[in-house]
Amino acid sequence: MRFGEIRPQIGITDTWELVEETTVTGSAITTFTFSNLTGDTDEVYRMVVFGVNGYSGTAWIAIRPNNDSGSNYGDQYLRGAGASITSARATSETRFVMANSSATALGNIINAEMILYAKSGYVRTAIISGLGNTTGTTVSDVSPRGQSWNNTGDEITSLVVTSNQTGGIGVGSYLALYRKVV
Amino acid sequence: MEYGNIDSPVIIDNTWQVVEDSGELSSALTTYTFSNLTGDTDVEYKLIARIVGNGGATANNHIYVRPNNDVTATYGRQDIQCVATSASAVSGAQPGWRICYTYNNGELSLGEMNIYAVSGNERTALTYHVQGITGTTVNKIAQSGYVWNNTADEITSLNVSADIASGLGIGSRLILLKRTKITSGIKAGSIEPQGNISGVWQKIHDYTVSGSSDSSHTISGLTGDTDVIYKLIFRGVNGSTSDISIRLNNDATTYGFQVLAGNNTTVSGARITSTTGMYMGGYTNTNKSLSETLMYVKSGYERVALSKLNYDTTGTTIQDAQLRGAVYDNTADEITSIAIVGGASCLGIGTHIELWRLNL
Repeated sequence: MRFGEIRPQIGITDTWELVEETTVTGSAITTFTFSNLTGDTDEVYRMVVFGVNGYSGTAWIAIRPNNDSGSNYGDQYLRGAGASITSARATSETRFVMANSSATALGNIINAEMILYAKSGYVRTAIISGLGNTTGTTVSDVSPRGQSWNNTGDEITSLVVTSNQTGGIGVGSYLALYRKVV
Repeated sequence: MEYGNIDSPVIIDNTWQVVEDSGELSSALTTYTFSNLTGDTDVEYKLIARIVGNGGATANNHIYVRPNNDVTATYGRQDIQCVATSASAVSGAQPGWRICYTYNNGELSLGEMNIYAVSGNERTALTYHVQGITGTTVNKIAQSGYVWNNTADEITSLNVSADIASGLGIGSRLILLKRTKITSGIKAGSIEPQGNISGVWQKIHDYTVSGSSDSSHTISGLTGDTDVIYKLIFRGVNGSTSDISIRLNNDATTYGFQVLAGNNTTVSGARITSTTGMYMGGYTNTNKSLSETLMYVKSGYERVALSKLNYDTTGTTIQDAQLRGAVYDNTADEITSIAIVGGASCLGIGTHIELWRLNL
C-alpha cells in the first residue's frame, strides 16, 4: 500500500518512534524530563544527547531513570584522550555518565548516544558512547561504556537529563528519546 | 489498524528512514555524494558504509565523510583503536570524518556514523568502524569522536571520498538515514503492518526466554541477500556461565574477530582468526549482558559485523565494556538463519533477543 506521508499518532508497530525531542532555546536549563514513559512495555530506549555547556565553568550532563540520584549506578568505560587509552570501573555512580570529560567552558560540547534495556525484573543495562569536552577542532576524549542501574523493581516512568550546574544544558542543546513500538 | 506492506515512496513522521542507498557499486568510485540535504531540519543523520578496498595493493585508503565537501582543515578527532593486542588512542586534525579504511585490494571495512547536523554549534559525529577484513582476519576495531568546526553553514550534502582514486571499490555500499519530521500528510492512529515498511528499521523477531533456560535460539526464515543489513539487540540473563555467540546459518566454522576491552583499569585487545561464531556477550554467576550488533549479511563478500557490549553485569559492577569487529568467511551462501548459541542453559529466563532489518 502506498501512502505518501504518514503521521502516526500512536505509532507503527515494530519500528523506532520518537517519543520526544527538545532543542534548548532562549535560556539554558538545568534539567529536562522525558515523562509518562512505560519502560516495562517499551522495553528498549535510545537517547541522543547533544549538550552545549550553558555554564561558565565545568559542567556535566547525565541521565537518571525515575530521577534516582542514589549511588545505584555502575560504569565501565574505555577512554581515549590524546594518545592515552585507559579504562576504569565505578560501582557507586549517581547517574548514567554520558562522557568522560565534562564540558569545561561555556559553549563546549558533549555528544552521546545511549541504548537502554529498560524493562524491570533485572538490573537495567545500558551501552553509552560519547565524546567529551569538544570545541573548535579538539575532541578531548571518546568513550564507549557499559553501565547499569541496580534497581530491578520499579518501572521506568521518566528519564531525567540533568546537569550538576545551574544552566549546564545550554542554548543549542538537543535531547531526543526514541522507543521501540510494540 | 492492520496494513500489508507500506511501500516506497513513503515518509513516516518521527522515525529513522533511509534517505539514499547507493546499492552495491557496480563500478569503482572515488567519491559518492548525498546531496539535497537539509541538515538544520533533519537534525540527525546515520551513515552506514561497507567498503570494498580498491585502488592498489598496500595503499592507505581512508574513506572520509565531509559535510558540504569542505576540504579545509576544519576537522578534529579522538580515536581509540586496537590492532591485535595493541590498544592505543590518537587525536588531532583530520581532513574529514573517517568512517572506513582499507589497505589492500578486496579488503572489507564496515562503519557506522551518527551525525548531529544542526548549525549554530560545531557539528559532531560518533563513529565505529572495523577494517582490514579478509578471510577470517579482522585487523582493527575503532571508535572515534569527530568534530567539524563550522558552526554556520547548513549541511546540504555529505561527500564520501576515498583518498586514493577509485578507492570505493566494486561492491562498496553507502546508506544514509535521517530523522524524519513532517508536518503534513495522512494522520493515522495505530498502524500494525503485516508486511514491510519501506526505508525504516523494522523489528522482525522478538523473543524472551520464559519457563526454563535455553541453550540456543534460532531465528529462521531470513533472506539475507534481500535484507542486506540486520541489527541484533541481545539482553542476556545468565542461565549458566557461558560465552554467547552468533552463528550465521548455524555454521560453527570460519569466523574471526578483533576486540578492544576495558576491564576495570585493564585495557586489552585480541585478534582471533579461527573461531566458531561472532561473540556477542557472556557472563558468569547470575549476571547480565547487553549488546548491539550491526551485520552486513548479503552474500558475495565475507559477512562483517560490528558490536558494542556491556558484558557480565551484576548490580553496579560491569565486568567489561567492549568493541568488537567480526567476520564470517563465507561469501556464497545466503543467510537464512541466525543462531544465538552458548553453553548448556546459557540463555536464562528473561533473556531477550530482537532482530531488526533495515528495509532497503
